[in-house]
Amino acid sequence: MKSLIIMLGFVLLAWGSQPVAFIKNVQGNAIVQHDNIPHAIQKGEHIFSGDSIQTAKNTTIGVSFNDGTRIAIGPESVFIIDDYIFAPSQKDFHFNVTLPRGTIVFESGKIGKLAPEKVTIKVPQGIIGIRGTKFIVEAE
Amino acid sequence: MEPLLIWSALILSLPFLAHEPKTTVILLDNESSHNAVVVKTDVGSVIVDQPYSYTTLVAQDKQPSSVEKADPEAIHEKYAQQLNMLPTKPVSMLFHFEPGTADLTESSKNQVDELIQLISSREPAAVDIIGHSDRAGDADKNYLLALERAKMVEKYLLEHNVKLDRSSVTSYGENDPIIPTEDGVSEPQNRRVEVIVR
Repeated sequence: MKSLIIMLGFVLLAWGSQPVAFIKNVQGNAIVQHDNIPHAIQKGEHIFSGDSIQTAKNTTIGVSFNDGTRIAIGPESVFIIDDYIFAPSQKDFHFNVTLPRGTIVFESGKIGKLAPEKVTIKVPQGIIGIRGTKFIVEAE
Repeated sequence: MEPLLIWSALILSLPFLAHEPKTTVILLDNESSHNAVVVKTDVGSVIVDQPYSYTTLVAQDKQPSSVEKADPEAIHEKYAQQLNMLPTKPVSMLFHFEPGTADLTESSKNQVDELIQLISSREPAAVDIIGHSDRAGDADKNYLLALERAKMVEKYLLEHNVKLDRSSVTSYGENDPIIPTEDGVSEPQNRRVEVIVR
């Protein structure tokens, strides 16, 4: 029993540290905050739920998420991944991000198709969502 | 093969240096008719559903502006750098298997080199390997069979020195058929591994 609990603990620990995206393109300089520790961004590195990315002047970063969503973060931006889950076998989807300042280009992937109501992008003045599930299901 | 439907594409721009901070949301053309966003503040919302239309937010307690049309060329020029750095669309390939086994069909064997090339052309790439089965036999066994198929593709890639630093190997068992069938039915199209290269 004890070993089962320990094993479960490891499974949960492993789940919590699963990457949700990776850095596909880098032009310029940016800082990734991971577990509240900043480091210089590197092409190819994994990004996790809870991380944030802050870009310098003349910088653009391309991010590829597990569900196929793609984002380009422009210069002098802050982009926070508040909560991201892509677990299609459990039908569990979360895509909650915040853009306190700056510019992003966003192209949605499978979460936008399977659970559009789970996609939100917060900005200082409001919130952006992807439109209605029924419409989308019909389209399929 | 393009199973990843792109739902919405947009630009968000927050010119924070302006003395009155505001947010602009511009819908882009994703070459799909299913492209719309809802933009909300505390007091109201608008739907932007025409490419190159936009709305502006000035404050949480103000309505979003009415939707206006922008000049596509001007948008592409202004945001050229971000649009260029947007990662390209993921590409997906399917590999089929002999009934009840993790053995690739002859025609799928011939496609593996194409996959290896695809991965190397997209470095740094993420490779998601997803195993599937048909509904012949027990569901639990099919889960394991589909997993075995996915692992077989992974093993093949590793044997051919493909770097899999960002890969995942999963099984959907018989739960995600291309062609839905009754239980117990053998269906070649459903005995497959999907490899998504991002």
